[in-house]
Order: sequence, then structure tokens, then C-alpha cells
Amino acid sequence: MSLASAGDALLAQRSADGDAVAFEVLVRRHGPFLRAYAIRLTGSAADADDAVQEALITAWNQLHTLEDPSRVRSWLVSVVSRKATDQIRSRRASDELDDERAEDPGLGPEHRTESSSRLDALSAVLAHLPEGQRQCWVLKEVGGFSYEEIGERLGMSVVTVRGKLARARATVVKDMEAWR
Amino acid sequence: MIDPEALASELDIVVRNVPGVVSLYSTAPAVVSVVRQLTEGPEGGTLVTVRSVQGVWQVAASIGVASSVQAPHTAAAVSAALLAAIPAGLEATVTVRISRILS
Amino acid sequence: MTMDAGSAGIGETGFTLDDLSDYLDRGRTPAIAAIDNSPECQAMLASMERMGSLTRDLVAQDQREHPMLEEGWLGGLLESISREVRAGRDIPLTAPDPRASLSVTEGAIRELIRSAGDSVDGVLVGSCTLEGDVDVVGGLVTVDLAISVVLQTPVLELAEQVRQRVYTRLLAHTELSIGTIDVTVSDVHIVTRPAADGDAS
Repeated sequence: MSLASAGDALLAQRSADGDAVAFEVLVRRHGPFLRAYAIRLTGSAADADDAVQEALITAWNQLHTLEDPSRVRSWLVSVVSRKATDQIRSRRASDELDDERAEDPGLGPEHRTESSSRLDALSAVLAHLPEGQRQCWVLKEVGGFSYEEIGERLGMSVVTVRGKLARARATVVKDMEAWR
Repeated sequence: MIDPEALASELDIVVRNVPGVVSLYSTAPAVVSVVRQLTEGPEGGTLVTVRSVQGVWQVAASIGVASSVQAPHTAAAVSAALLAAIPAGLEATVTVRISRILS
Repeated sequence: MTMDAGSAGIGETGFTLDDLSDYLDRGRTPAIAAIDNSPECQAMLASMERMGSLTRDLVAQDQREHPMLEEGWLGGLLESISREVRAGRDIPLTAPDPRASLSVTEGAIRELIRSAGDSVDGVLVGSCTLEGDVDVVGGLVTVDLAISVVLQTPVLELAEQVRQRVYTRLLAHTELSIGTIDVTVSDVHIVTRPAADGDAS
């Protein structure tokens, strides 16, 4: 029986026991999602690649601390979130004028179908949000984190997180009105 | 005077030539070897480590062995080969650790 | 729907966009009747939720467009982790010479047990643990392993084959006294055939 057909829980257990092949299967399975998430979060493919790589090395070393191996995917999301937000914070320290930074995340519209143009529109709206708002939005809506967790990760108060999220929501809802 | 680096590279070859040995690993912990890479350039050095502690030569090897041979036999053969390769008259100890058994 | 909350709030409820955003993230509890009964507020909440789910769709689409990791990047990662082998405890072996000390790592033994179990058709080993006197030559140890099996084969038979193969390999490669080998079937799965080509997706 091949490891590629094994469930997440089994692969996580084997990885925790030091099985690098099992870990590779997990990485191939969840890596593309983790990377897509990290690109939306950091706004940069290069930063995302670094954050995901660091996160996976950390995960390899800490997998034995994961209590419920069947939840390995959401655990990986939280490790990636931590590395990506660390990177955001250190970048912010060296780059004071960050709030209007809105790089294109580098995911071009190639191969998109008609039905995904709504997603293209959303992609453009997110890319133009102030960086802090976009990060709060992605951590909340994709990462599923609470205000407290987001605040802690981004070094902001809960009040600030709430404000940024509400402003992000207002902008997204308004700019996407035509697509609703 | 014995040069530990030269002795270690000779012993690398000795270990690799023992039947049943399929790989040789660094005996230094990963963190140490990363630091060593930073300070001494890329790891081109030896994998068997040799050091002299109060006049006693300490040799350590970490190996991967073939599952077709009983692992304790291979470990014993490696230790015997190492002891035989150490210049006569030197006081020495050898540590052999099997880190993988490969089928 | 109007976006202008104004001083009267959305739908004249007095609640602002911030309030609604907060309410949504609290899971709409405790319930606020004024919001729940206002069509404007309900429409706004629904839009906010839709945008959240659309964002998850967007990430899913990003993932579909880049379904493979770059092999160079992956190679670098795997190289880094392979340097950090989790060796575990050292299990001593009899040394033929007083100047030698020999051992096999717990990590090597676990790998051996996994490959012994996996060699049985229809079985994958999950976790495996060694308990007992691993740090003395000839110590008595018990082995616990969890396996995942394919439904078709009788489970007891598979577990027995795993036990025997693990025992044989441990006997060959360690000097431990093997006590019990407990095999737990943690998971039974049915092999699904891949969907036939031409299926509508």
C-alpha cells in the first residue's frame, strides 16, 4: 500500500516518528494550499516561499507535540501563519511606509475561465487594500483566527484588528457590489 | 605526531569498505554541522570524527547498514576495522552507531 | 442597499458597519433583535459572509493554478529536514572489544519496524513505540504499533503477519529481548477506484 493514499493522521504520526518520506507526502498534499495562503497573506511569492519553508522545517521538528494528528492541516496553517506574520513584522521594521504597499501577489489571470472573473475582481480588490487590512482579512477569513490571535500575531491591539477588519469588509463589500 | 584530520579521512574509507555498510553520516548534531558550515565553509570534511582527549584517541562513526546483514554483526565489523586501522601503540576507543537499517 | 451608515446606522438601526462586522465574528451571539430583524443588516451580513467564502475560493483557485510545488524548493526543504534526523535513544549492542561501544538508534529501529509492517500487503504502519529496558544490552522491551489496513483482507490475519515480520526483523537487527508486540488496527480503509475518465466534474 502506498503512503500517497494514506490519511493525514497516519502520515503525521509517521512524520512525528521521524519518517521523512511520510512528511514529504504531507508537504506535497498541503504545500500548494499553504503557499497560496501565504502569498495572499504576505503579498509576495518570494516571502511566501521563505515563510512556508521555514514553517515546514519547524513543523518537522515539532510534529511530536501535535496532540491530534488528524488535525495536521490546520496545525500547519497556524505554523505558516506564524512564520508569515513574523516576516511581515520584520519587514515592517525595515520599511516604515508600508500601509499603501500593495504588490500584485503574482498570480496572473492565466488559464482563468469566465466564471472565475469574479475571483479576479476580488483578487484586485484585495491587492489594493492597505497591507494591514489585507493581512487581518486573510488571517480571519482564510486562517480562521480570532481577533486576539490576529492581534498577537501582527502586534496590534484587538481594537485595531477589529477596526481594520471592519474597514476591509466595507471596502470589499462595496467594491464587489457589482459581482454580488 | 598524528594529524586527526588525516586519520579521520583514512577511517572514512575504512568504514565505507566494511561489507554491510551502505552509508556514512555525520556524527555531529545537525545544529553543530550547520554552524560549522558557516564558520568553516561547506562541509567537505570527514564524517568519522577523531579527537584526542587526555591522550586517548576517540573515534566515532554513524552508519547506515544493509538489512541483508544482521546489524549487530555489521557494527562489530566496523568497530574491529576501525581499531585495526588505528596506528599501533595509540590508546583509542571507538563508538559505532547505526542510524539507519536500509532494505 | 445603501453603504452609507450615517448617524442612523445601517437600516436605521443605529448599528454601524463595525458593529455588524463584530457581530458576524461573534457568531451572531448573543442575538441582537434589531439586527436580526433588519433586512438591510441581514443583507450586509450576508454580503460580508459571501466575501469571506469567496476569499477562501480565491485561495483554493490559486492552489489549483499552482498544484505542484517547485521541485527545487521542495528539494531544499527535504534536504534540510533530512539533516535533522530524530535519532531518539541509543540502544546498546554487545561490543566484541572493550575499547568499542556499539549501538543502534531508536530512530533506526522505528524505521525498521515501519518497513517490516509496510511489507505486508494492504498494511501501513502508523505510530510505533518501544517501551522497556532499551538502554541495556538484551533488555526486555515491548513494541506497540498502530496499523492502517485495507478492508478486503481479514484484519486479524494482517495483524498477525505484521507481528511476525516485525519480530523477525527485530530479532535479526537488535539484541533486545522482545516481549509482546501489540498491533492495534487504528484505521480500516476501503480502496476507492479513481473516477472513470469522462466523468463530469
